[in-house]
Amino acid sequence: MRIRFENVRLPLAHFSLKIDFDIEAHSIGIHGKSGAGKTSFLELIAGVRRATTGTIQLDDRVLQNNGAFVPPRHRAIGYVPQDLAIFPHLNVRRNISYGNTRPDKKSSVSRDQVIETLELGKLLDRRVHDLSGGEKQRVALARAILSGPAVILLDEPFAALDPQMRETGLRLVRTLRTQFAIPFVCVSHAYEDLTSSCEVLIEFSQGQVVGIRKNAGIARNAGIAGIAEPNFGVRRIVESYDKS
Amino acid sequence: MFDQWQVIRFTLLVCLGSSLLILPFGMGLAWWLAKTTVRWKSIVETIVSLPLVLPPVATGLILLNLFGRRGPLGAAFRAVFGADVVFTWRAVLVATAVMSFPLLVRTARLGFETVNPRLEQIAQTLGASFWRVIFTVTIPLAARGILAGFLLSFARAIGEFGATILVAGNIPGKTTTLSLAIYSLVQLGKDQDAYILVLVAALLAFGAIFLSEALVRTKAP
Amino acid sequence: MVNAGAMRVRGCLLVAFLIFCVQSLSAAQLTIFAAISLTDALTEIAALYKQVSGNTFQFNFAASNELARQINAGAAADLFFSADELKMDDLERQNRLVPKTRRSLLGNTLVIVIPKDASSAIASPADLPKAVHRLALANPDAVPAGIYAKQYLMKLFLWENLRPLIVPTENVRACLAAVETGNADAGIVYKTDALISKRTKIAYEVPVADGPPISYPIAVIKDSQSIEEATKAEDFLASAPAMKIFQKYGFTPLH
Repeated sequence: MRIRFENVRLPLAHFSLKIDFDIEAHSIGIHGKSGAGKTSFLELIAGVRRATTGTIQLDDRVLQNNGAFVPPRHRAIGYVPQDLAIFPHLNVRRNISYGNTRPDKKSSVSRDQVIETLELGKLLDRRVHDLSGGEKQRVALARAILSGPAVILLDEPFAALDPQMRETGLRLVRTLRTQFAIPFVCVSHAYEDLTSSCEVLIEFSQGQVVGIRKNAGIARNAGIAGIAEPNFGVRRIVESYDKS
Repeated sequence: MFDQWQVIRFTLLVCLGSSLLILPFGMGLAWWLAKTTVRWKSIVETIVSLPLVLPPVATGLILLNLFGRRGPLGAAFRAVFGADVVFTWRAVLVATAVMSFPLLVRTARLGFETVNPRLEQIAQTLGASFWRVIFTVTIPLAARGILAGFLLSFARAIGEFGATILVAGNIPGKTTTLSLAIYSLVQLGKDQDAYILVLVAALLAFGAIFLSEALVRTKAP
Repeated sequence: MVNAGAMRVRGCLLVAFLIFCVQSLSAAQLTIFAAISLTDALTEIAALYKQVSGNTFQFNFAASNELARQINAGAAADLFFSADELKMDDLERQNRLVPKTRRSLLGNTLVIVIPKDASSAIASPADLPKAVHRLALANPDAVPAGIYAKQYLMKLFLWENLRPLIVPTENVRACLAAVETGNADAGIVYKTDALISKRTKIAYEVPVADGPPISYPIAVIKDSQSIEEATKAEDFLASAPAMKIFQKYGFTPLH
């Protein structure tokens, strides 16, 4: 996955998002204090929010470019927000199948594989309000995966889980890479959770990227084409990307 | 003078028909009012609410002028279909539809306003088109409000009198509704017969409003 | 000095006010429930009556059956001027009338009216079933004008044919309005109504010999608070000056 933000600006309540970078990686972790603008950043990628200026590119598609704007429907992005946003009026089976009608799928994962890996077999006919926090999260993740996205965005997937569930949650996020081969961007305020699953780590503060580094433990193949230094704009560093 | 059962049957059919007729338009307008942020929204709200606050006979007079044989809509209808609107069951349909429309819109709008926009956004990110979001997320979640609005508009249609009598007249067997029949019976001094119809009207209204309130009160799971 | 002047002004105002009150007390206001077809004639007569006696009429114009119903339900009226004897009979049976004040004052005739700009294919009532899609009548079950019309049509054996075409209206003026707006092809009203209408024309006038006997009775209501004044008003309505005005509008005096 390649994500490029160029000259992107979005005014928020207390500060403005100012983002410039160009990264190729399979998994990106976004770290920062709560309120740093991480959720807004994800919403810009998903198309739920619209930046005031700038260019946003995902792989070889330009999602936003000043005037032009691709609506969320056509972005092929799976978004798992912090509040999960599971459909309360549908059961689990209908929830996870909702993305079936996505016009152009960019990935294809076997439904049985997802249900098995995320242990949803016994929950399929259950109504949503009966589910526990962890179960709901697996439903939201399955729904995103089964919609055939190019990329999955996860907002604080571990926040609401107790330590026992966190381990399971981490394992699930890793399966995105190991089993389903879907690139993802994961936001968390807990650093340790990101280091165990993401190739590249980005540090956010007050709406800006203040640091990028490759995660030594995981990133063998990640390439960082550009880093934004606060107030300095993009400085291009070209590194090779080995897709093995 | 007239057959009580025919009157009740006719009233139920016409009111059901008019409530169903306005349902898609009312839902569309309610949705738009719940979502839009244009500044002149309040003007639309006011116009839609007019039949609710105007004296019903005032609305009836406006309809009579529009749908009369020489009125713009009445003449057009005649030209296309070769039939009249005023003094026929069509006029009853029009009168009840217009008078109950505001109640449908107001109640359905509340239903739409309770829909969490996050859910609609998520549906979009999952690849759903505009109409798919409307039919699979928005409407199911607003269903209670919509149904409550439908029931209220039905109840209002049953009780409609002022506009109906002006634009449809009170023709036994053709346009006499429950309300008009009660009025006629009283005019003739047949109060006892009128009370039976009053009871029927009360039962219908009670049932519809009770259901409507129940729907609005309980929250969806 | 200023006080004395102010006192004098106030004194004059008070006296003037008292005189005004006394004047008003002596002038009676009488409530007349009258058939709606009498609207124009009675309004003109009221002006005359005020000049002559200082009393004013307050009118309630509606279909006679509606008025009778209201009086029976306790509405406050001094006089009842009905368009047919049936309604007056009803009140008499209910003991609502002051004895010996009932008398029949006016007659009228029926006409068939059509919209002014319509081409008249109606030379006689027999033409109605063919020429007309919708015939307006004041409610033939309750309103005098409609009852008269129904009697007439039954007599001509036209009633059954015309029945499905009938649009019943609240009163005879509403019937007239339906024809004026073109929403009915024709209507049967009193000649006196047709004469004041600018947007209809008479297609056929029912000859007096053919039509039903039309009679407008008047009576003083028992619960009236001013029976004496009401009786005097009734006498005035029966008098020559009033009758002249009635005739001007097309009513026929009955003696």
